[in-house]
Amino acid sequence: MNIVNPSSAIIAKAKAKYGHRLTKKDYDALVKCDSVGDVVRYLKAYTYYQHYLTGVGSDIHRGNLENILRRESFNNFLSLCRYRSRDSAVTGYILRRTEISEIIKFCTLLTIGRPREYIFTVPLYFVEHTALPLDHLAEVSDFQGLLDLLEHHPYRRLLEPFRPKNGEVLDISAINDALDIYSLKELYRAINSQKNKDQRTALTTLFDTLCDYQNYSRIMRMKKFYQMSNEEVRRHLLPYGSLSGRKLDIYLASESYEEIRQALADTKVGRRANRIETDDEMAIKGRYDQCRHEMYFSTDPEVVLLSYCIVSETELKNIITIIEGVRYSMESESIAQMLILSE
Amino acid sequence: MSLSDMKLVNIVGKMDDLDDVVSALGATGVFQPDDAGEFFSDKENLIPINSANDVSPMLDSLKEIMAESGLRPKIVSSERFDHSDPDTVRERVGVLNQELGELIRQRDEAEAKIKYCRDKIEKTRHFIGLGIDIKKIKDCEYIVTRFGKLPNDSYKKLENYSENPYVEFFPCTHDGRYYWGVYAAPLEEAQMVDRIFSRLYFERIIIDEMKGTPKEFAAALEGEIIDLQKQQKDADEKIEAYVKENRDELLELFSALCKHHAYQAIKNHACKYHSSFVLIGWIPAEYEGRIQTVLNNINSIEVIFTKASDEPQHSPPVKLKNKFFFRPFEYYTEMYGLPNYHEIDPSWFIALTYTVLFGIMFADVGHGIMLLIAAIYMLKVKKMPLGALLIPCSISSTIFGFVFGSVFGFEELLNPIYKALFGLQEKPIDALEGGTTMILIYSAVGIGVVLLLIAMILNIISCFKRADIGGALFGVNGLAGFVFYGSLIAGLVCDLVLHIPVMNTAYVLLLIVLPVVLIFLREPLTKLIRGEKDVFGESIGSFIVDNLFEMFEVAISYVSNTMSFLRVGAFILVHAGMMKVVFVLAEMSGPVGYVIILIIGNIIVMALEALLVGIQVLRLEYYEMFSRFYNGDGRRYQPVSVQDKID
Repeated sequence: MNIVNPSSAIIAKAKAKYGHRLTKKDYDALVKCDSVGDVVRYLKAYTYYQHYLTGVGSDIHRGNLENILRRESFNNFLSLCRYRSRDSAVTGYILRRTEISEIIKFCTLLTIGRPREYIFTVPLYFVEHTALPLDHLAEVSDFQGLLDLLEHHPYRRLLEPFRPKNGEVLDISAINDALDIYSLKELYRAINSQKNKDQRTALTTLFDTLCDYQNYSRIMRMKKFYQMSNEEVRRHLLPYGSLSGRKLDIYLASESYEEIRQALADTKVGRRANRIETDDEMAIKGRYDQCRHEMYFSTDPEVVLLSYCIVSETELKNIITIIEGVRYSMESESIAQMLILSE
Repeated sequence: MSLSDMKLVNIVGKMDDLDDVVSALGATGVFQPDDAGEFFSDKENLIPINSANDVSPMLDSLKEIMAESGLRPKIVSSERFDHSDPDTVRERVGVLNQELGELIRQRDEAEAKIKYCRDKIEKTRHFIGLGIDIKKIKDCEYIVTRFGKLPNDSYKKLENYSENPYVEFFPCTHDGRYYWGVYAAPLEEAQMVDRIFSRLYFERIIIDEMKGTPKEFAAALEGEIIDLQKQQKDADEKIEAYVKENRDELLELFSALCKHHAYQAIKNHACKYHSSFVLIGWIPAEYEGRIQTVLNNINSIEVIFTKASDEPQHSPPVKLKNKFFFRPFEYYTEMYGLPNYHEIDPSWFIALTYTVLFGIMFADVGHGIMLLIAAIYMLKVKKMPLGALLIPCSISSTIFGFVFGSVFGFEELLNPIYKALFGLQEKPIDALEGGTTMILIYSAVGIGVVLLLIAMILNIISCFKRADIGGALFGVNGLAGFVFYGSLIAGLVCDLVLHIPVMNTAYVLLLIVLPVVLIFLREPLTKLIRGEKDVFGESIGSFIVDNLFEMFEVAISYVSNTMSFLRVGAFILVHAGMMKVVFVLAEMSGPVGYVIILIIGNIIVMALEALLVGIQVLRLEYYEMFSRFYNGDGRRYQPVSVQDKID
C-alpha cells in the first residue's frame, strides 16, 4: 500500500528543490566574478550547486564545468521522474526535446562539414536514456548516413523529406520546425490519452500558453527582422495554442511592428508577452515567467514537473551565460543583461 | 524585582586633569559614558574630543602575535607600563613584535613549504606508475608531451579517434572523475592534437620541476618535507621558549594597552569647553560613593550626581536587577527588548506566568523529571542560559503531572498515591473524560482572561509612571479597557454560567458602553487633559471613520487574545492523545517491541511537546500579554570595561 501518493511527492520534491534556486543576490555576485574559478568557488560555497560540484576544483576546464552542470541537472530531473511512469506526457516530452536538440546539433555540424566534432559535445550521460545511437553519430559523415543510423526511429520518416539534393544545404530551420511539431503532436496525444480530466486541462492549458509565447515571438521576429510574407510566417508557426483563425489573421494583417505589439494586448497571454521588451526573449522569458507562476500555484504533478524543469533549465542557461561571459572577460553589466531573470 | 537605580554623573574640570579622570573612572569598571554634547542645547564652544585611538594598531599587532604564539590573552596588573610614556610602550611592543614575529615567520615559512611539497606530491601521485625519467621526456626534441587529466566522458570519447595514430592517451591513474595521464605527439602534429584534447576538456598540469621518475620525485619531496618539519619544530620550540621568558612582559603590555584603549573610549565621549572639559555618563546608584571617592583625589574637577529618573529625555541605560528565581527569565525579556527606564521590568511576570503555563501544558511527572535532568545538563555542562530557565519549568511540569496523574503516559500509575493521600479511587482530573475536557477548555480561557486583566493593570501602572494619563485612563489597555473587558466577561459568566442576571441596563450602559465611548474618544480626551487645542485633528469626519475601524480591530483583538489561551487546554489534551497513540502502537507488538516503542514514543512526544510548549507559551507572553503593557525600547547598561577589550 502506498502511504504517499507518488504524484504528490513530485510536487513536494520539486517545490523543495525550487526553494534552492539562485537569488538575485547570487546572480549579482556571480556576474562580478573575475574568473571561472571564482564562479566555481561561489557556487560551491553559497549555492545548492555545491552538491553538483563535489570534488571539482576551481581550476576546472570551462567546458568540463558546463558539461558537469548539464549532466547533474539532467540527473536531477531524472530523480523527480522516479515518481512518474516513464510514459508520462511530460517525461516523454522532455526526453524527446533532448533527442531533437542533439539531432539538430548534429545536423548543424553536418552542414558546416564537421560532423566528427559531434563527439566533443555528445552528452554521454543521456545515451542510456534514449534509444537513439548518439554515441555513433560522430561516425556518420553525411545525411544518408544519418538516415541509415535512425532507420528504426520515427525521426527517420520526419527527416527524409529534407534530404539535400544536388549539393543543397540542409534546411536546419525547417528540420527544427518539423521535429518540434512532431514532438508536440506526440505530447498532445499523450495528454489526451490521460484519464483525469483536470490533469488533461491543466497540461493542455500550460502547453497552449507556452506555444502561444513561442508563436508571438516568431511572428514578431519574422515580421520585424526577416520581413517574411504572411504565408511564410504561417508556415513557421506551431499549429498549437490559441493563435489561429481570425485572431491570427488580425496579427498578420498588422502592417507595422507597433501594430502587432498593440494587437497583442487583445489576449491575456499576449498582454503578458507584450510586457517583455526584447522580441528574442519573448518565448524564453514568457515561458520562464509562466512556469514560475505554475511552481507557486499549480497542484498538478505533471505541470509542476514540467515547470520545475523549465525553470531549472533557465537557471542553468544563466549560469552557463555567466561562465562564458566571465571567461571572455565581459563587463558584469553586459553579462547581467543577457540573463533571464524574474521581475 | 525591578531595574537598578541609575545616576547621571556630570564632571567638569581642567583639560589637564582629563586623563586622570578618565583613568579613575575606567578603573572602576562601572562608568558608561554618553556623548556630552547631547546634554546641552547650546553647543557653541563645546568641541567633542575625538582624538585618534593610537593604541589600537599596537594592540591589534600584539593580539595577533600572542594568538600566533599560543599565548592566551588575559588582563593582569600592569603597573610597570601604566604610567610609562607612549613611546616606551611603542618601542617595547615593536621589539617584541620583531623578535617574536621573526620566529613566527620562520615557522610559517616552513609550514608553507611543507604544504607546497605536499601539493606537488599529490599531483605527482597521479603519475606514479610512469617509470620514465620525466626530464628525458621533456628533453625530447621532436615529440611534445602533456601531463594532465581527462574527464571520464572524454576518455570514453577517445575511442572515436582510434584510427588517428597521433591521438593517444596513456592513463596512469583513475580517481573516479578523471583519468590522469599523459599524451605525446610529434612536434608538427602537436597543434592538432592539442586542439582535440582541449575540446575533450583535458586539463594540463605543469610539472616542470619534476626530475627523475615520478616515484623518485615523490620520494625526494617526502625527504624535503621531513627536513622542513624539523625546521618547523625548531621554530615552534624557540617561540615557546621566547614566550615563556617574556610572558609577564607580554601580558603586562597587553593589559596596559587594553586599559589605554578602554580609557580612550571614555575620553572620546567628553567635550572641550575653552580650557575645560565636560564628561557625562551613567553609573548604578550604589556606586555613587565609590566614584565620589576616586574623583575626590583630583583637585580641579566638579562632580554632580543626578537621579536618572530626572533625566527621562536622555533615555538612561537599564540594568536588570532580579531575584534568583526571576533572573533566568531576563533572557526572554532581553530577547523581546529591554525595558526603558520608566517601564516595569516584566521578568518577574514572565517568570511566574511562563512557569505555570508551561507546567500546565507539559504536565507529566516523568517528562518533567527528564526535562529537569536535561535542563541541569544544559546549564552546568553546556552553559546554556536556557537551562536555568527550564529548571523551574520542569519542576512545574512535574507538579502539574501529579495533578493530571500522568507518568510517561501511564495514566493510572499514581492512583495508589491519590488513594493513600486523599482517599480518592482514581486521579482527580482525567483529561480525556468528556466532562473534564470542557472544564479544561473553559479553565484555559479563564486563565487567559485573568492574565490579560493583569497585563492591563501593568499597563495602567506603566502609563502613570510615564505620566501618560490619557493612556492610563482611556487606552484600550487602560482603565476604560480594563472595565469594559472585565465587566463584559463578568457579566457573561454570571448570566450564562452562574445564571445570576447582572446585565441590566445600568450595568451595560455604565460598565460596557461608557468605557467603549471613552476608548473611542481617547485621543481628544487625552488632548483635553494636556490642554491642547484642535482635539479632533484634521476633521471630525475622518476622526470618526478612523476610530470606527480601530474600534472594530480592538473588539477583534479582545476576542482573539482571549481565544488564544485555548491552546493551554488544547495541549493538555494533545499530550494525553499522543501518549494514547504511543500505547496503541506499543500494544500492537510483542513484549520487547512494547518496551522499545514506549521508550521511543516517549522520547518523540517529550521532545516535540517541550519544543512546541516552549514556543507556544512564549508566543502567548509576547503577543497576548507583552503587547498590552510593554514597549521594550530601553538601552542596555554597558559600562566601559578593560576586560571587554580581550576579544
